[in-house]
Amino acid sequence: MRKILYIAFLLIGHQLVFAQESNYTLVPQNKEIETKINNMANSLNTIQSDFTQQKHMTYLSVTVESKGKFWYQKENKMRWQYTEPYKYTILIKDGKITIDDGGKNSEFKVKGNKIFEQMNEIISASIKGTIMKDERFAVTLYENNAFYMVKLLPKSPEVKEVIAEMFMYFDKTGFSVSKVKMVEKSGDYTLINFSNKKVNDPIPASVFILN
Amino acid sequence: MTRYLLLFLYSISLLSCKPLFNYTAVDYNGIPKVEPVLSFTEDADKVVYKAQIDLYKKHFSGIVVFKYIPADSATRIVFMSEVGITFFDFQIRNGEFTVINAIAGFDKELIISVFREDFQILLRNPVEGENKIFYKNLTIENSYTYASDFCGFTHDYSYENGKLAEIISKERVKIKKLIKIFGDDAQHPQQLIIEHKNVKLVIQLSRI
Repeated sequence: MRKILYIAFLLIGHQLVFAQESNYTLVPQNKEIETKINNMANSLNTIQSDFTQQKHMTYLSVTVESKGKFWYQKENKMRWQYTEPYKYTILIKDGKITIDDGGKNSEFKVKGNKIFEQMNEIISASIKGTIMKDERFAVTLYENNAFYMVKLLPKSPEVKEVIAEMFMYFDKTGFSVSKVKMVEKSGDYTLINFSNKKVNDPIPASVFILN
Repeated sequence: MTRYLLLFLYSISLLSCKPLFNYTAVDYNGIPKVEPVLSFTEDADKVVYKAQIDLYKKHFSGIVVFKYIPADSATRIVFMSEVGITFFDFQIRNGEFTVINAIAGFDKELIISVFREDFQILLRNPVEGENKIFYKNLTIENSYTYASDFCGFTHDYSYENGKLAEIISKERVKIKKLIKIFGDDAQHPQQLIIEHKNVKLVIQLSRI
């Protein structure tokens, strides 16, 4: 009985997820939307936001959740700060990645790490609005009532090995990134939800310094 | 002079074999219940740890998920970055180790073998091993040591106050690895520190 309930739960869960994704309809190449995203990007100097990250491991039925804060400043200054359930900060600045892992700091070049490099470029391109023209991905645009969903299929085998596909969700009111979903080859995925977004508010210089 | 040096070395080697002095061999029935470092039940079938790995002067980190899958009679171990990218996915079933998936950079035999042995030790029950010798500590109450052969090494399981506190992995008298166990939860300890002595490698797992 328990097994049947479990299978039923999985099937219903799958249908709900499918329904959620299938609410989106394909948008043919659309200059107007591209212009809107570009205009938003051109006027954007800073973003500050809270985020919730959920790693879903489908086969294991495990979800690992973490929370934190995100800052971005034109051009290419970024800080991801995980605050729960652990302290972990990634600072990307001047082509360097500095990590503070609960007080233990390490530093390396963005260019020396292909995955970090690509992820950094994807996030930057999404924020800057250039993602739609990125030739390293097969890009398709979808929409529903609230979001434009950009589906990115990596062309590089090295990236494909790690990320099978990515989805960026732009909200239709502000045209800024609201959600990012990274799907792995196994079907496991990471969903990052941004909330309490502040656009173009000044960010203190100290945010982009790690002691 | 050589004679004194040999005598000194002999004394040191005797001291390193602590069961000879403060311990006495006990019957299997006289020991506390032995469980693996990490054990799972229907209600507690998973545990998540923040991992901090220090290899020489390099620092790495990530999240480790241990999940028991009853249908497979196996424990899956997934190591991923804080950002959510899976580095590797291992399975241990009846002590048998399988690599389900490992991304480039983590698929090297040297890396896999280090984790394989560490995870096997965490998930095995020493009582089910071979060549077990049980000793009771004569100076600390309710403290025992189990010597158990595994992977060609001897492993001393030290229990203090009925709780597993330390595993020492040895090749003859030379310590290869030290696993320290912290916290009151016998199934899923709060913290595990694995100190490798043959390479400068320390793996720290803190429960989240």
